[in-house]
Amino acid sequence: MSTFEIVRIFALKDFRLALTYRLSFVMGLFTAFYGMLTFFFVSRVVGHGSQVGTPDEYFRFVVIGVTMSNVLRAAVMTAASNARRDQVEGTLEMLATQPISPIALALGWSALPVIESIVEGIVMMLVAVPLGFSGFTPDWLSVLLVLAISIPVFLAIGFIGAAFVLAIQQGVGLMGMAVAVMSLAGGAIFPVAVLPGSVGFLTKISPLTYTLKAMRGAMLDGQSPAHLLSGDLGIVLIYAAVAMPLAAILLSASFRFARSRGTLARF
Amino acid sequence: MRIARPSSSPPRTPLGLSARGLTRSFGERTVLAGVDLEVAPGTLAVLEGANGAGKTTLLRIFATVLRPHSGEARVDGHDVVRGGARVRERIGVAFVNERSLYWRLTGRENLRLFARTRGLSSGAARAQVDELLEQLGLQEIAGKWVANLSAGQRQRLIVARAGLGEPACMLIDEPLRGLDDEGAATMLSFLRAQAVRGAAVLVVAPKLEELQAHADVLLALTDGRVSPVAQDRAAPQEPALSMAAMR
Repeated sequence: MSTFEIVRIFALKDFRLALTYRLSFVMGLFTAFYGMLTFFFVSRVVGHGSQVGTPDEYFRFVVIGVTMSNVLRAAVMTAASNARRDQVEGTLEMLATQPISPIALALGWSALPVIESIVEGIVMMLVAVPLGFSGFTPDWLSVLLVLAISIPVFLAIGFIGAAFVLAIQQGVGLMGMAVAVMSLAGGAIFPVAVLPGSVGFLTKISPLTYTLKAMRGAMLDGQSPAHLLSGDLGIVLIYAAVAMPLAAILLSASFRFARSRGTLARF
Repeated sequence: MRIARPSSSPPRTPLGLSARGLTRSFGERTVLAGVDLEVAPGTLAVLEGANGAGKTTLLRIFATVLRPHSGEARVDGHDVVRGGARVRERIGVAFVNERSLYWRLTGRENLRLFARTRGLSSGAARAQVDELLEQLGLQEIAGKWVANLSAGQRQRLIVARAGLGEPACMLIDEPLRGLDDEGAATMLSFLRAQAVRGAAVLVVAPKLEELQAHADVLLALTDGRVSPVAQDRAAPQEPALSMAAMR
Protein backbone atom coordinates (compact mmCIF):
# COMPACT_ATOMS: atom_id res chain seq x y z
CA MET A 1 0.00 0.00 0.00
CA SER A 2 1.32 3.44 -0.93
CA THR A 3 2.35 6.01 1.65
CA PHE A 4 -0.26 8.37 0.26
CA GLU A 5 -2.99 5.79 0.83
CA ILE A 6 -1.85 5.18 4.41
CA VAL A 7 -1.85 8.93 5.06
CA ARG A 8 -5.34 9.23 3.60
CA ILE A 9 -6.62 6.37 5.76
CA PHE A 10 -5.21 7.89 8.94
CA ALA A 11 -6.50 11.34 8.06
CA LEU A 12 -9.98 9.88 7.59
CA LYS A 13 -9.68 8.04 10.90
CA ASP A 14 -8.68 11.25 12.68
CA PHE A 15 -11.52 13.08 10.93
CA ARG A 16 -14.00 10.51 12.22
CA LEU A 17 -12.54 10.86 15.70
CA ALA A 18 -12.69 14.66 15.40
CA LEU A 19 -16.36 14.45 14.49
CA THR A 20 -16.98 12.91 17.90
CA TYR A 21 -15.61 16.13 19.42
CA ARG A 22 -17.72 18.64 17.49
CA LEU A 23 -17.34 21.40 20.05
CA SER A 24 -13.60 21.39 19.43
CA PHE A 25 -14.17 22.23 15.75
CA VAL A 26 -16.50 25.10 16.64
CA MET A 27 -13.99 26.40 19.16
CA GLY A 28 -11.29 26.32 16.51
CA LEU A 29 -13.34 28.56 14.22
CA PHE A 30 -14.13 30.89 17.11
CA THR A 31 -10.43 31.12 17.98
CA ALA A 32 -9.62 32.01 14.36
CA PHE A 33 -12.20 34.78 14.34
CA TYR A 34 -11.25 36.04 17.79
CA GLY A 35 -7.54 35.99 16.95
CA MET A 36 -7.97 38.11 13.84
CA LEU A 37 -10.15 40.59 15.66
CA THR A 38 -7.58 40.88 18.43
CA PHE A 39 -4.71 41.53 16.03
CA PHE A 40 -6.81 44.04 14.13
CA PHE A 41 -7.19 46.15 17.29
CA VAL A 42 -3.53 45.61 18.20
CA SER A 43 -2.59 46.93 14.77
CA ARG A 44 -4.51 50.14 15.50
CA VAL A 45 -2.26 50.67 18.52
CA VAL A 46 1.19 49.53 17.42
CA GLY A 47 1.12 50.15 13.72
CA HIS A 48 2.71 53.59 13.67
CA GLY A 49 6.39 52.78 14.25
CA SER A 50 8.97 52.80 11.49
CA GLN A 51 9.52 49.02 11.75
CA VAL A 52 5.94 48.00 11.14
CA GLY A 53 4.63 50.71 8.87
CA THR A 54 1.02 51.82 8.94
CA PRO A 55 -1.67 50.02 10.97
CA ASP A 56 -2.92 48.31 7.79
CA GLU A 57 0.59 47.23 6.84
CA TYR A 58 1.15 45.75 10.31
CA PHE A 59 -2.20 43.97 10.16
CA ARG A 60 -1.29 42.36 6.84
CA PHE A 61 2.12 41.45 8.27
CA VAL A 62 0.66 39.80 11.35
CA VAL A 63 -2.13 37.94 9.53
CA ILE A 64 0.50 36.10 7.48
CA GLY A 65 2.62 35.55 10.58
CA VAL A 66 -0.20 34.11 12.67
CA THR A 67 -1.62 31.86 9.97
CA MET A 68 1.78 30.43 9.08
CA SER A 69 2.60 29.98 12.77
CA ASN A 70 -0.54 27.89 13.08
CA VAL A 71 0.58 25.70 10.20
CA LEU A 72 4.00 25.44 11.85
CA ARG A 73 2.41 24.50 15.17
CA ALA A 74 0.24 21.78 13.57
CA ALA A 75 3.10 20.30 11.58
CA VAL A 76 5.64 20.38 14.40
CA MET A 77 3.42 19.38 17.30
CA THR A 78 1.07 16.73 16.03
CA ALA A 79 3.43 13.91 15.09
CA ALA A 80 4.86 13.98 18.61
CA SER A 81 1.55 14.55 20.37
CA ASN A 82 -0.28 11.90 18.35
CA ALA A 83 2.56 9.43 18.84
CA ARG A 84 2.20 10.14 22.54
CA ARG A 85 -1.58 9.78 22.32
CA ASP A 86 -1.26 6.35 20.68
CA GLN A 87 1.39 5.41 23.22
CA VAL A 88 -0.79 6.36 26.19
CA GLU A 89 -4.07 5.09 24.74
CA GLY A 90 -2.49 1.75 23.84
CA THR A 91 -2.85 1.75 20.05
CA LEU A 92 0.81 2.37 19.23
CA GLU A 93 2.03 -1.18 19.76
CA MET A 94 -0.74 -2.53 17.53
CA LEU A 95 0.09 0.03 14.84
CA ALA A 96 3.70 -1.16 15.08
CA THR A 97 2.60 -4.67 14.11
CA GLN A 98 1.02 -3.40 10.91
CA PRO A 99 2.88 -3.45 7.59
CA ILE A 100 3.34 0.31 7.42
CA SER A 101 6.56 2.28 7.45
CA PRO A 102 7.46 4.67 10.28
CA ILE A 103 7.44 7.64 7.92
CA ALA A 104 3.96 6.74 6.61
CA LEU A 105 2.71 6.42 10.16
CA ALA A 106 4.19 9.79 11.12
CA LEU A 107 2.69 11.43 8.04
CA GLY A 108 -0.61 9.84 9.00
CA TRP A 109 -0.34 11.33 12.48
CA SER A 110 0.18 14.79 11.00
CA ALA A 111 -2.03 14.87 7.93
CA LEU A 112 -5.37 15.98 9.31
CA PRO A 113 -4.01 18.60 11.74
CA VAL A 114 -1.94 20.20 8.97
CA ILE A 115 -4.93 20.24 6.60
CA GLU A 116 -7.05 21.69 9.41
CA SER A 117 -4.47 24.39 10.07
CA ILE A 118 -4.45 25.38 6.39
CA VAL A 119 -8.26 25.52 6.30
CA GLU A 120 -8.21 27.50 9.53
CA GLY A 121 -5.65 29.86 7.97
CA ILE A 122 -7.93 30.43 4.98
CA VAL A 123 -10.83 31.16 7.35
CA MET A 124 -8.63 33.59 9.30
CA MET A 125 -7.66 35.39 6.13
CA LEU A 126 -11.27 35.60 4.98
CA VAL A 127 -12.22 37.03 8.37
CA ALA A 128 -9.33 39.48 8.03
CA VAL A 129 -10.33 40.78 4.58
CA PRO A 130 -13.07 43.15 5.74
CA LEU A 131 -10.74 44.29 8.53
CA GLY A 132 -8.09 45.49 6.08
CA PHE A 133 -6.33 42.38 4.78
CA SER A 134 -6.65 43.51 1.18
CA GLY A 135 -5.13 45.84 -1.41
CA PHE A 136 -2.43 43.45 -2.66
CA THR A 137 -2.12 40.90 -5.47
CA PRO A 138 -0.75 37.55 -4.38
CA ASP A 139 1.13 35.22 -6.69
CA TRP A 140 -0.88 32.08 -5.90
CA LEU A 141 1.63 29.72 -7.47
CA SER A 142 4.30 31.16 -5.19
CA VAL A 143 1.96 30.78 -2.21
CA LEU A 144 1.45 27.09 -2.99
CA LEU A 145 5.18 26.64 -3.53
CA VAL A 146 5.99 28.19 -0.16
CA LEU A 147 3.53 25.83 1.52
CA ALA A 148 4.80 22.82 -0.44
CA ILE A 149 8.41 23.45 0.54
CA SER A 150 7.99 24.74 4.10
CA ILE A 151 5.49 22.19 5.42
CA PRO A 152 7.92 19.27 4.91
CA VAL A 153 10.51 21.17 6.95
CA PHE A 154 8.06 21.68 9.81
CA LEU A 155 6.89 18.06 9.54
CA ALA A 156 10.47 16.88 9.72
CA ILE A 157 10.98 18.80 12.95
CA GLY A 158 7.79 17.19 14.25
CA PHE A 159 8.99 13.73 13.25
CA ILE A 160 12.16 14.28 15.23
CA GLY A 161 9.93 15.10 18.20
CA ALA A 162 7.95 11.91 17.57
CA ALA A 163 11.22 9.98 17.51
CA PHE A 164 11.97 11.28 21.01
CA VAL A 165 8.50 10.23 22.16
CA LEU A 166 8.98 6.73 20.78
CA ALA A 167 12.43 6.36 22.27
CA ILE A 168 12.07 7.99 25.68
CA GLN A 169 8.34 8.71 26.03
CA GLN A 170 9.04 12.43 26.11
CA GLY A 171 9.35 15.19 23.56
CA VAL A 172 5.96 16.85 23.21
CA GLY A 173 6.98 19.66 25.55
CA LEU A 174 10.21 20.10 23.63
CA MET A 175 8.25 20.57 20.42
CA GLY A 176 6.00 23.13 22.12
CA MET A 177 9.08 25.05 23.13
CA ALA A 178 10.49 24.84 19.60
CA VAL A 179 7.26 26.25 18.17
CA ALA A 180 7.26 29.13 20.67
CA VAL A 181 10.90 30.01 19.98
CA MET A 182 10.55 29.75 16.21
CA SER A 183 7.40 31.88 16.21
CA LEU A 184 9.03 34.59 18.29
CA ALA A 185 12.45 34.57 16.67
CA GLY A 186 11.06 34.00 13.19
CA GLY A 187 9.07 37.21 13.18
CA ALA A 188 5.53 35.88 13.26
CA ILE A 189 4.09 38.77 15.24
CA PHE A 190 6.91 41.32 15.38
CA PRO A 191 9.43 42.21 12.69
CA VAL A 192 12.72 40.53 13.54
CA ALA A 193 14.37 43.97 13.47
CA VAL A 194 12.69 44.95 16.74
CA LEU A 195 13.89 41.81 18.55
CA PRO A 196 16.99 42.10 20.76
CA GLY A 197 20.32 41.20 19.21
CA SER A 198 20.66 38.16 21.48
CA VAL A 199 17.77 36.56 19.58
CA GLY A 200 19.57 37.12 16.28
CA PHE A 201 21.13 33.66 16.20
CA LEU A 202 17.74 32.00 16.70
CA THR A 203 16.28 34.20 13.98
CA LYS A 204 19.00 33.11 11.58
CA ILE A 205 18.59 29.36 12.20
CA SER A 206 14.79 29.28 12.39
CA PRO A 207 13.25 28.00 9.13
CA LEU A 208 10.13 29.97 9.98
CA THR A 209 12.09 33.21 9.46
CA TYR A 210 12.65 32.42 5.80
CA THR A 211 9.24 30.83 5.36
CA LEU A 212 7.51 33.96 6.62
CA LYS A 213 9.63 36.22 4.43
CA ALA A 214 8.82 34.06 1.43
CA MET A 215 5.12 33.85 2.23
CA ARG A 216 4.85 37.59 2.77
CA GLY A 217 6.70 38.10 -0.48
CA ALA A 218 4.30 35.76 -2.30
CA MET A 219 1.12 37.06 -0.70
CA LEU A 220 1.71 40.74 -0.19
CA ASP A 221 4.23 41.58 -2.91
CA GLY A 222 3.23 38.99 -5.53
CA GLN A 223 6.80 37.74 -5.91
CA SER A 224 7.34 35.02 -8.49
CA PRO A 225 8.50 31.46 -7.67
CA ALA A 226 11.83 32.09 -9.39
CA HIS A 227 12.41 35.21 -7.33
CA LEU A 228 11.56 33.42 -4.10
CA LEU A 229 13.62 30.34 -4.88
CA SER A 230 16.66 32.48 -5.47
CA GLY A 231 16.25 33.94 -2.00
CA ASP A 232 14.42 32.96 1.17
CA LEU A 233 12.54 30.00 -0.27
CA GLY A 234 15.80 28.57 -1.56
CA ILE A 235 17.04 28.50 2.03
CA VAL A 236 13.85 26.71 3.11
CA LEU A 237 14.44 24.21 0.32
CA ILE A 238 17.89 23.46 1.71
CA TYR A 239 16.34 22.94 5.15
CA ALA A 240 13.85 20.50 3.57
CA ALA A 241 16.59 18.58 1.77
CA VAL A 242 18.46 18.10 5.03
CA ALA A 243 15.62 17.79 7.54
CA MET A 244 13.42 15.20 5.85
CA PRO A 245 16.07 12.48 5.44
CA LEU A 246 17.37 13.21 8.92
CA ALA A 247 13.88 12.90 10.37
CA ALA A 248 13.23 9.66 8.48
CA ILE A 249 16.49 8.20 9.81
CA LEU A 250 15.78 9.25 13.40
CA LEU A 251 12.21 8.03 13.26
CA SER A 252 13.24 4.60 11.97
CA ALA A 253 16.02 4.43 14.54
CA SER A 254 13.61 5.29 17.34
CA PHE A 255 11.25 2.51 16.25
CA ARG A 256 14.17 0.08 16.17
CA PHE A 257 15.25 1.27 19.62
CA ALA A 258 11.73 0.89 21.04
CA ARG A 259 11.35 -2.54 19.46
CA SER A 260 14.68 -3.69 20.85
CA ARG A 261 13.65 -2.66 24.35
CA GLY A 262 9.98 -3.57 24.00
CA THR A 263 8.87 -0.11 25.08
CA LEU A 264 6.33 0.71 22.38
CA ALA A 265 3.54 0.09 24.86
CA ARG A 266 5.29 1.90 27.72
CA PHE A 267 4.25 5.42 28.68
CA MET B 1 -2.44 -34.36 14.45
CA ARG B 2 -0.22 -31.97 12.53
CA ILE B 3 3.47 -31.75 13.17
CA ALA B 4 4.10 -28.83 15.48
CA ARG B 5 6.33 -29.28 18.43
CA PRO B 6 9.47 -28.01 20.08
CA SER B 7 12.04 -28.41 17.38
CA SER B 8 15.20 -30.46 17.44
CA SER B 9 15.52 -31.00 13.69
CA PRO B 10 18.37 -29.54 11.59
CA PRO B 11 18.25 -25.83 10.70
CA ARG B 12 15.98 -24.91 7.80
CA THR B 13 13.54 -22.14 7.02
CA PRO B 14 10.11 -23.62 7.58
CA LEU B 15 6.84 -21.84 6.91
CA GLY B 16 4.65 -20.92 9.84
CA LEU B 17 6.29 -19.93 13.10
CA SER B 18 9.68 -21.17 14.18
CA ALA B 19 12.11 -20.31 16.92
CA ARG B 20 15.52 -21.67 17.65
CA GLY B 21 17.57 -20.99 20.76
CA LEU B 22 15.54 -17.86 21.47
CA THR B 23 16.54 -15.93 24.57
CA ARG B 24 15.32 -12.74 26.15
CA SER B 25 16.03 -11.21 29.52
CA PHE B 26 14.72 -8.21 31.38
CA GLY B 27 17.49 -6.92 33.58
CA GLU B 28 18.84 -9.84 35.56
CA ARG B 29 15.78 -11.94 34.95
CA THR B 30 15.94 -14.42 32.08
CA VAL B 31 12.45 -14.97 30.70
CA LEU B 32 13.23 -17.00 27.60
CA ALA B 33 16.24 -19.27 27.98
CA GLY B 34 16.60 -20.94 24.60
CA VAL B 35 13.15 -21.51 23.17
CA ASP B 36 12.86 -23.97 20.29
CA LEU B 37 9.47 -24.06 18.63
CA GLU B 38 7.74 -24.80 15.38
CA VAL B 39 4.13 -24.22 14.49
CA ALA B 40 3.41 -25.43 10.98
CA PRO B 41 0.82 -23.86 8.68
CA GLY B 42 -2.67 -25.22 9.36
CA THR B 43 -1.90 -25.87 13.01
CA LEU B 44 -3.56 -24.55 16.13
CA ALA B 45 -0.93 -24.66 18.85
CA VAL B 46 -1.70 -23.75 22.42
CA LEU B 47 1.10 -22.68 24.73
CA GLU B 48 0.45 -22.61 28.44
CA GLY B 49 2.53 -21.08 31.13
CA ALA B 50 2.21 -19.46 34.52
CA ASN B 51 1.89 -15.72 34.87
CA GLY B 52 5.24 -14.17 34.05
CA ALA B 53 6.53 -17.34 32.40
CA GLY B 54 7.28 -15.47 29.17
CA LYS B 55 4.34 -16.41 26.94
CA THR B 56 3.51 -12.86 25.95
CA THR B 57 7.23 -12.08 25.58
CA LEU B 58 7.44 -14.88 23.02
CA LEU B 59 4.38 -13.54 21.17
CA ARG B 60 5.79 -10.03 21.17
CA ILE B 61 9.04 -11.24 19.65
CA PHE B 62 7.14 -12.95 16.84
CA ALA B 63 5.05 -9.76 16.47
CA THR B 64 8.29 -7.72 16.02
CA VAL B 65 7.58 -5.36 18.92
CA LEU B 66 10.34 -6.88 21.06
CA ARG B 67 13.71 -8.14 19.96
CA PRO B 68 15.33 -11.33 21.22
CA HIS B 69 18.76 -11.16 22.78
CA SER B 70 19.95 -14.26 20.94
CA GLY B 71 18.66 -17.08 18.83
CA GLU B 72 16.27 -16.58 15.97
CA ALA B 73 12.56 -16.41 15.37
CA ARG B 74 11.04 -16.69 11.93
CA VAL B 75 7.61 -16.09 10.47
CA ASP B 76 7.04 -17.89 7.19
CA GLY B 77 10.80 -18.08 6.84
CA HIS B 78 11.43 -14.38 7.50
CA ASP B 79 13.62 -13.41 10.42
CA VAL B 80 11.77 -11.17 12.90
CA VAL B 81 14.79 -8.88 13.33
CA ARG B 82 16.23 -8.59 9.84
CA GLY B 83 12.97 -9.02 7.96
CA GLY B 84 10.56 -7.18 10.24
CA ALA B 85 8.62 -5.54 7.42
CA ARG B 86 8.05 -8.90 5.70
CA VAL B 87 7.03 -10.46 8.98
CA ARG B 88 4.45 -7.75 9.65
CA GLU B 89 2.83 -8.49 6.29
CA ARG B 90 2.28 -12.09 7.43
CA ILE B 91 1.05 -11.84 10.99
CA GLY B 92 -2.22 -11.15 12.72
CA VAL B 93 -1.81 -10.16 16.34
CA ALA B 94 -4.19 -10.06 19.29
CA PHE B 95 -2.63 -8.92 22.54
CA VAL B 96 -4.50 -8.64 25.80
CA ASN B 97 -5.05 -4.91 25.59
CA GLU B 98 -8.53 -3.60 24.97
CA ARG B 99 -7.02 -0.12 24.73
CA SER B 100 -5.45 -1.15 21.44
CA LEU B 101 -8.78 -0.29 19.82
CA TYR B 102 -9.98 3.24 19.08
CA TRP B 103 -12.74 3.62 21.63
CA ARG B 104 -14.53 6.50 19.93
CA LEU B 105 -14.82 4.59 16.67
CA THR B 106 -17.28 1.77 16.11
CA GLY B 107 -16.20 -1.84 15.99
CA ARG B 108 -16.70 -1.87 12.24
CA GLU B 109 -14.70 1.35 11.77
CA ASN B 110 -11.86 -0.10 13.83
CA LEU B 111 -11.72 -3.25 11.74
CA ARG B 112 -11.96 -1.34 8.46
CA LEU B 113 -9.10 0.93 9.49
CA PHE B 114 -6.81 -1.99 10.25
CA ALA B 115 -7.98 -3.87 7.17
CA ARG B 116 -6.82 -0.93 5.06
CA THR B 117 -3.47 -0.75 6.88
CA ARG B 118 -3.04 -4.40 5.91
CA GLY B 119 -3.34 -3.38 2.29
CA LEU B 120 -6.90 -4.48 1.54
CA SER B 121 -8.82 -2.39 -0.96
CA SER B 122 -11.85 -0.55 0.31
CA GLY B 123 -14.25 -3.13 -1.12
CA ALA B 124 -12.24 -6.10 0.06
CA ALA B 125 -11.91 -4.55 3.52
CA ARG B 126 -15.66 -4.05 3.76
CA ALA B 127 -16.38 -7.65 2.73
CA GLN B 128 -13.78 -9.18 5.00
CA VAL B 129 -14.78 -7.09 8.00
CA ASP B 130 -18.40 -8.18 7.61
CA GLU B 131 -17.28 -11.79 7.38
CA LEU B 132 -15.12 -11.57 10.50
CA LEU B 133 -17.85 -9.78 12.43
CA GLU B 134 -20.21 -12.60 11.56
CA GLN B 135 -17.71 -15.33 12.43
CA LEU B 136 -17.22 -13.85 15.88
CA GLY B 137 -20.88 -13.03 16.46
CA LEU B 138 -20.33 -9.28 16.47
CA GLN B 139 -22.73 -8.09 13.74
CA GLU B 140 -25.25 -6.73 16.24
CA ILE B 141 -22.77 -4.50 18.01
CA ALA B 142 -20.54 -3.59 15.07
CA GLY B 143 -22.08 -0.12 14.79
CA LYS B 144 -21.49 0.78 18.43
CA TRP B 145 -18.53 2.71 19.74
CA VAL B 146 -15.93 0.40 21.24
CA ALA B 147 -16.31 2.43 24.44
CA ASN B 148 -19.86 1.07 24.74
CA LEU B 149 -18.96 -2.61 24.31
CA SER B 150 -18.49 -5.18 27.05
CA ALA B 151 -15.04 -6.56 27.82
CA GLY B 152 -15.93 -9.82 26.11
CA GLN B 153 -17.13 -8.06 22.98
CA ARG B 154 -13.93 -6.03 22.84
CA GLN B 155 -11.92 -9.22 23.24
CA ARG B 156 -13.69 -10.79 20.26
CA LEU B 157 -13.15 -7.63 18.26
CA ILE B 158 -9.41 -7.72 19.01
CA VAL B 159 -9.19 -11.31 17.82
CA ALA B 160 -11.31 -10.50 14.74
CA ARG B 161 -8.78 -7.79 13.90
CA ALA B 162 -6.01 -10.41 13.99
CA GLY B 163 -7.79 -12.27 11.19
CA LEU B 164 -7.79 -9.30 8.79
CA GLY B 165 -5.98 -9.97 5.56
CA GLU B 166 -6.00 -13.71 6.27
CA PRO B 167 -2.48 -13.65 7.72
CA ALA B 168 -0.24 -16.69 7.35
CA CYS B 169 0.47 -16.68 11.09
CA MET B 170 -1.68 -15.61 14.01
CA LEU B 171 -0.46 -14.71 17.48
CA ILE B 172 -3.27 -14.73 20.00
CA ASP B 173 -2.86 -13.86 23.67
CA GLU B 174 -5.45 -15.32 26.05
CA PRO B 175 -8.36 -15.39 23.59
CA LEU B 176 -10.91 -16.64 26.12
CA ARG B 177 -10.29 -13.92 28.67
CA GLY B 178 -13.55 -12.28 29.69
CA LEU B 179 -15.72 -14.48 27.47
CA ASP B 180 -18.86 -16.31 28.54
CA ASP B 181 -19.51 -19.88 27.39
CA GLU B 182 -21.16 -18.84 24.16
CA GLY B 183 -18.42 -16.34 23.42
CA ALA B 184 -15.76 -18.95 24.17
CA ALA B 185 -17.40 -21.44 21.81
CA THR B 186 -17.52 -18.82 19.06
CA MET B 187 -13.89 -17.94 19.67
CA LEU B 188 -12.71 -21.53 19.58
CA SER B 189 -14.62 -22.12 16.39
CA PHE B 190 -13.00 -19.04 14.87
CA LEU B 191 -9.50 -20.10 15.86
CA ARG B 192 -10.08 -23.56 14.43
CA ALA B 193 -11.35 -22.03 11.18
CA GLN B 194 -8.16 -19.99 10.92
CA ALA B 195 -6.04 -23.14 11.22
CA VAL B 196 -8.25 -24.92 8.72
CA ARG B 197 -7.71 -22.19 6.15
CA GLY B 198 -3.97 -22.80 6.56
CA ALA B 199 -2.75 -20.32 9.16
CA ALA B 200 -0.21 -21.22 11.80
CA VAL B 201 -2.04 -20.18 14.96
CA LEU B 202 -0.16 -19.79 18.22
CA VAL B 203 -2.43 -19.21 21.19
CA VAL B 204 -1.04 -18.54 24.64
CA ALA B 205 -2.99 -18.95 27.86
CA PRO B 206 -2.23 -19.42 31.54
CA LYS B 207 -4.15 -22.73 31.59
CA LEU B 208 -4.87 -25.28 28.92
CA GLU B 209 -8.19 -26.45 30.31
CA GLU B 210 -10.70 -24.92 27.90
CA LEU B 211 -8.34 -24.89 24.96
CA GLN B 212 -6.69 -28.27 25.03
CA ALA B 213 -9.55 -30.19 23.43
CA HIS B 214 -9.37 -27.94 20.40
CA ALA B 215 -5.64 -27.72 19.91
CA ASP B 216 -3.55 -29.67 17.46
CA VAL B 217 -0.55 -29.28 19.69
CA LEU B 218 -0.16 -28.50 23.36
CA LEU B 219 2.98 -26.82 24.61
CA ALA B 220 4.16 -25.55 27.95
CA LEU B 221 6.57 -22.75 28.72
CA THR B 222 8.43 -23.40 31.92
CA ASP B 223 11.79 -22.15 33.10
CA GLY B 224 12.20 -20.24 29.87
CA ARG B 225 11.87 -23.24 27.59
CA VAL B 226 9.05 -24.74 25.58
CA SER B 227 8.23 -28.40 25.93
CA PRO B 228 5.40 -30.58 24.60
CA VAL B 229 2.44 -31.52 26.74
CA ALA B 230 0.67 -34.82 26.28
CA GLN B 231 -2.82 -34.35 24.83
CA ASP B 232 -4.25 -36.67 27.48
CA ARG B 233 -2.53 -34.98 30.38
CA ALA B 234 -5.86 -33.97 31.84
CA ALA B 235 -9.45 -34.59 30.86
CA PRO B 236 -11.00 -31.63 29.06
CA GLN B 237 -13.58 -29.68 30.98
CA GLU B 238 -16.85 -29.60 29.07
CA PRO B 239 -15.42 -28.53 25.75
CA ALA B 240 -17.46 -25.77 24.28
CA LEU B 241 -17.35 -27.38 20.87
CA SER B 242 -16.38 -30.79 19.72
CA MET B 243 -13.51 -31.05 17.26
CA ALA B 244 -15.90 -32.55 14.73
CA ALA B 245 -18.15 -29.54 14.97
CA MET B 246 -15.30 -27.15 14.49
CA ARG B 247 -13.69 -28.79 11.50
